[in-house]
Amino acid sequence: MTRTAALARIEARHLARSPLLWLGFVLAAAGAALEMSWFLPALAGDDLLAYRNSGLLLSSGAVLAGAWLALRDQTSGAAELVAVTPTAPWRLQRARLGSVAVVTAGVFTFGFAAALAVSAIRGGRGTPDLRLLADGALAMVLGGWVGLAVGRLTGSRMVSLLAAPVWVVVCFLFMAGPSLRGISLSVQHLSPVLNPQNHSAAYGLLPDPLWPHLAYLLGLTVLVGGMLLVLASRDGSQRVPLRPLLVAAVAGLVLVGAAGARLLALPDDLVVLGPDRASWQPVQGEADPQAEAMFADPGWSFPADDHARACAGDTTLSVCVYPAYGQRLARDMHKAIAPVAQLFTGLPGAPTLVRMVPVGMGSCRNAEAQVPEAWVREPAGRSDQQTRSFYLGFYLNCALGRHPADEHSAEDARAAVDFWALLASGMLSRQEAHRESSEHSAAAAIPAALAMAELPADQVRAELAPNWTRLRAGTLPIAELPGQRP
Amino acid sequence: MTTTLALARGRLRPVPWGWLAVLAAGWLLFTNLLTAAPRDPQVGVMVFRWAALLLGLGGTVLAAPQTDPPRDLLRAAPVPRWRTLALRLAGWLLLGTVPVLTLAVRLGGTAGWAAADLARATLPGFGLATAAGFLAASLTSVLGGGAAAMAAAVGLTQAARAWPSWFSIQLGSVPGDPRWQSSRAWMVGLSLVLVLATLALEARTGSGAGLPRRRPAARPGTASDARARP
Repeated sequence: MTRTAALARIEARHLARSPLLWLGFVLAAAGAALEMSWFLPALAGDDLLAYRNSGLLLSSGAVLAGAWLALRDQTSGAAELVAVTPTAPWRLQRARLGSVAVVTAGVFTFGFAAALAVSAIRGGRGTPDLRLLADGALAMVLGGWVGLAVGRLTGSRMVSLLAAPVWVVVCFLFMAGPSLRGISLSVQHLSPVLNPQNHSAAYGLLPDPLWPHLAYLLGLTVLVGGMLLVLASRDGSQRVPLRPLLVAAVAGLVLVGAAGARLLALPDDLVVLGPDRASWQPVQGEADPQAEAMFADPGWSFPADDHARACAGDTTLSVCVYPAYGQRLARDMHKAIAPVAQLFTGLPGAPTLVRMVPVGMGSCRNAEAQVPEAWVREPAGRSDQQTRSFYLGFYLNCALGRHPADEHSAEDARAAVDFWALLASGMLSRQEAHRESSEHSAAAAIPAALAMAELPADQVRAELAPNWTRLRAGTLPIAELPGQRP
Repeated sequence: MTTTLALARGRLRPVPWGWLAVLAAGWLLFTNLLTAAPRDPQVGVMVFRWAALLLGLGGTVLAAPQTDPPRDLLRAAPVPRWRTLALRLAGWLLLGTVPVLTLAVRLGGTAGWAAADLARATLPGFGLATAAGFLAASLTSVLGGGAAAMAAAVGLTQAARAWPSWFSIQLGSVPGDPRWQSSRAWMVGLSLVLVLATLALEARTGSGAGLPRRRPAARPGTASDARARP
């Protein structure tokens, strides 16, 4: 055992210096950094980005590194030397498998931890899903062992080189399963590296394939490792012990079969319609028209779930987001919305709470404006001003009784009140409003808003109050707004 | 004439051309199947373009030191050996271009892509991957060169995603994009630079100017082969 462990340590040190593995690491790190920069930081979310970006690139690097290790003895002429050593070849192979496992899993763990550290420094909060770490590490081990098998079985540098892109193609084929012709099963979860798209910091992966996927990967890894040990024992007179090998093979097959069947039974997607898991809607295919129609219904809203507990606010308005995004996001959102919210304080229907929810299009529920998590999490390409307008949009839609899916007339008085609120709160300057009037589709509303802005804000609010219900119903003409000449 | 042919044969011989031909043919069949698999034809075109990049990995065996094992003792005098690599590269470009063009013609009309546009979209990528692998493999090994070529492709794609407005090489650009022409021009230009760099390095080594390299023009299996070496 000591000899095998010593050999494993030597091989691990050798492999850890392989540029093939580190090349994959650098690319994976660059990809993860790029994608993380597009999203608001959250440990429960950046863990998935780190997994997704590192998984495929690093595991293909592991395939190359494993193949390189298998080919090395051929190049150096060490194969003959190894064949005459007193240590059984399968023991040497076991040491090599151990070294590949330790190094590839170690590199992934390092990358994963680094990504989470960066996320935490950027302000990410929450609890990362460590099952992603285990899954990614197992995928690396599997990739490294597959590379070892390819190098050993073929002895060809070209085939070993092609093994890495073929590994990626196989993963992609599984991932793209539902969009391939003739594939009706949900095979995407059978990919060695998962590519989950739907994730919520409060509700996790939707659906969550991680437990069965871990078992599935473990089974595959055991099978590939056992095969490599058998191959190695063919070369020498000392055979690998049959009983443990058989037990491992049977365990591997059972794990792959049972977990694979469980993975195939999972839906492509899950729509969270409330805190009760029984209400979650399974989706097969890429989109669910039923769910989309439901979100477009102005009467629908996400029920209270007590998940948005990171709050900021004052007596006028509170903003609550999932704790994974931290109070900073709640404060930023409050800072953007509060000046406008003060103008509508006390008017019926004006939200007093802005709450993050996992799905929807920005619904309203009593005095609550709902903000879909996915829309907020991805601020890529938005300037600070656009982000503020984006947050304000949710509030104003609820305050003015609008729904994002509705068509709005250019003559709608609500558009004029919307612009007035921006002008009166200082979010929009008069020059910008004049510019908007030449570009905006609701151009007729802007002169009305400018006229309202000439009056004191309290007066406008007092004059709006008696007409507020009609305004929210969309039946108030612009001419009846405060400050309009008859 | 006979001497020239013998020289060319000697320069080409260590490269496993048979296997490369199998690779090219296998690539054609496999990629043909892959492009037909997605329900969305546009995805099929994307698969074809990426597959063309992967075919470029074949360029790594042309220049890798493992293709020409060290036989310095048999070398009579230092000679400029860049011609050997240039000849091999020309052979590979010829061999690799045929399946790419064949598939471009076969997929012509898919998702609104004309065959000529498909060829224009894929060949620069194939050339760039070949050139990157060619240079990296000449400095490292088949695996090292291939990994570097793949890394270059992934790195370029990520850079194009990160800075789409100013990064010159957009592997996924389509006809009509503002970067369609310039991106392909940059790819061809960069490929030429990489190839010239490889040949220059080889020429320097050949004239005994520098690197401790050990590439003969051919593997001298027999006495006649040894005499045929340049």
